[in-house]
Amino acid sequence: MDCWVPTAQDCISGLLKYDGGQISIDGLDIGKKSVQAKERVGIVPQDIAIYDTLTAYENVAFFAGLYGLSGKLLKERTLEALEFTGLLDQAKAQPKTFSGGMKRRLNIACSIAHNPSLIILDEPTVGIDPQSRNHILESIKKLNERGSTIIYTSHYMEEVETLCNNIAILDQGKMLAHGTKDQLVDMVSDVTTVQVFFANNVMPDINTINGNCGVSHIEAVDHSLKLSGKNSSIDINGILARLIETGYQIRNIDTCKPNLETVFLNLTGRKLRDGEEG
Amino acid sequence: MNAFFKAAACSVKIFFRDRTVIIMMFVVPVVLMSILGMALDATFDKGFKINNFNVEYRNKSTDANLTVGFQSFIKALEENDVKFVKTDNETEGMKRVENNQIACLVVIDENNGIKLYKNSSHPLGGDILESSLKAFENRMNAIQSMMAVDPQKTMELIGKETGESFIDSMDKAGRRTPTSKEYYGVAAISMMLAFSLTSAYMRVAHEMTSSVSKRKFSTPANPYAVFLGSQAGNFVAMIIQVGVLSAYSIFVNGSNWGKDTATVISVLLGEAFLVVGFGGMIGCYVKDRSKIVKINYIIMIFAWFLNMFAGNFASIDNFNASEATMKILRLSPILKVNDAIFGVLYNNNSGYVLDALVTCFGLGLICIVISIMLYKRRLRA
Repeated sequence: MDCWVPTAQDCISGLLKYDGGQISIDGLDIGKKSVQAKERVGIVPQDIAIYDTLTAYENVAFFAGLYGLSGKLLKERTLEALEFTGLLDQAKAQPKTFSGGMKRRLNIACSIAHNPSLIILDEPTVGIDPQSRNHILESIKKLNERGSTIIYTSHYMEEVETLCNNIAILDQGKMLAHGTKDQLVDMVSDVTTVQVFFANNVMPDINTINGNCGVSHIEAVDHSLKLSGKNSSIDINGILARLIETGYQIRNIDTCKPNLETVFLNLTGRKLRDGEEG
Repeated sequence: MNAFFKAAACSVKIFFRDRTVIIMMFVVPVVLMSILGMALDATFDKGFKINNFNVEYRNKSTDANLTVGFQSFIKALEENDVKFVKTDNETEGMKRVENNQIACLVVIDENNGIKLYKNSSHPLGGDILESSLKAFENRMNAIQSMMAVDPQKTMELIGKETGESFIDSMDKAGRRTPTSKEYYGVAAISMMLAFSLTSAYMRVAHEMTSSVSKRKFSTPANPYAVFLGSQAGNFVAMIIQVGVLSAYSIFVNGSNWGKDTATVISVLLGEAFLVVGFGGMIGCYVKDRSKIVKINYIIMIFAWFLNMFAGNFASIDNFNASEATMKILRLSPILKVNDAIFGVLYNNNSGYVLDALVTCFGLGLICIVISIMLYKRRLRA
């Protein structure tokens, strides 16, 4: 997913020429009416893009100023953005004294003071504390409710499930799927996943089951085994019988509904991507 | 224009909130001025030595008083390491000046006055000799008047001439000789401006390779106005630096900057402009963040050599360098700055000022144009 966002950001901000298609924001062609179109966009880059030696207020005011705000309106919007991101009481502090979460929130505040109609957020919750993360997610919901369109990029599927009503899964620069959450989940509805819990937390050897009884994927999760396979081929009863025959005591069995993560893994594969970027 | 001024104001704030920059730009030069001024005081207070400064003279005068007076003038200057050799052939002497075999030729003629031929190999020494000759001429005119009243007393006075009598006039404020305080009061500022090349480069390089610049580009503001605004802000910050250090040098350190302080400061500002432009140009060239520090090391070494060969550590006249080397060194804009400043400071000679200003502002402007081209290429990468 990483490859798409910088490219899109660069195209929208006019840094990158695109050789096909058209980008319009509120009906304004970015190629023809670049300035007016840019005024409607707020970009929150993945890397924190603020000045450490300017105060939080000065940071927001500077970037809002580059969007054409000035005077009383600039002051009002700057304070509004700081309040919105929960940083109003830190307005006079320099970001070098901030926690990672506060810096992320300031990073967002710098992009929203001019009230953009389109906000692009690139992994805004990476490496921050749960409180800041929750605050950011709530803020994004509010921005959307206020009328801004949000393009939200994340590797955290639960965030995507919570926030997004239109989801695209991209891998290696290609869009693999696109639709609502339900539409995407339906794409993998022919896969059944069960989670088997064992008495006394004794775990069987994964190899005794893998590849048998229609199981296509198996993983150990907190003293349990998560087994997946096609509806047509997975044999739940056969798996259970095999485990009992081998001497394991089964405490509980859960049927897991497919979620966005299931969809993502199903579409992109489970092979590790060390050193690769989406 | 709004974006230009906002970017400029932002740059100034960032400059003055960086503690490392404050230490390097203000504290270090203040300490240098004081330490170098004191440490090298002995060298300077004993007289401003001009090593390897060879002068030929031809005395066409038949006036015995003038000849005696000129001999005592020679004696006085030889105490200050100026070597005089008599010549009978004025034309050959002029050729030797032209070929840099000697620094100056002095021709004494009671009818046509004193003529001085000099080359560019020792501009400071040449200036000193010129002002000393003026002092000598004034003194001889006074002596001629005194002779009419009391010839005996006047001859005694001529015989007692010392170097101070002539070199005195080098210092426009009436002090004896230029001291190390004067020299390093200015040289330390010129030196720190050259070292500021690293911070001028670092500010642009860091910004160019950071997400902040992407955020700036994504705004509707004209990116060139933002870039030029940032550079203007850096220049304003250096103007403040020059102002503060000059004030310290003059009012606290007690250095004598002569009467043309404004000219001296304008030349220093030329150097500051060049530093901002050149540093920014290299900063614009850097694309890889991991190389910023490595390139900075190279710039530091470059700035060090620039300072050394511009005479900011010690007067370049002490180098005893060959004429060819001197010609190469004289291409250095920092040396042009120093020649211009010391010309004004020691001899009221503004002859080098225009050259220094044109060189610094011209090169600075060229660097800024190249920066914009590099910036444009980056914007459209």
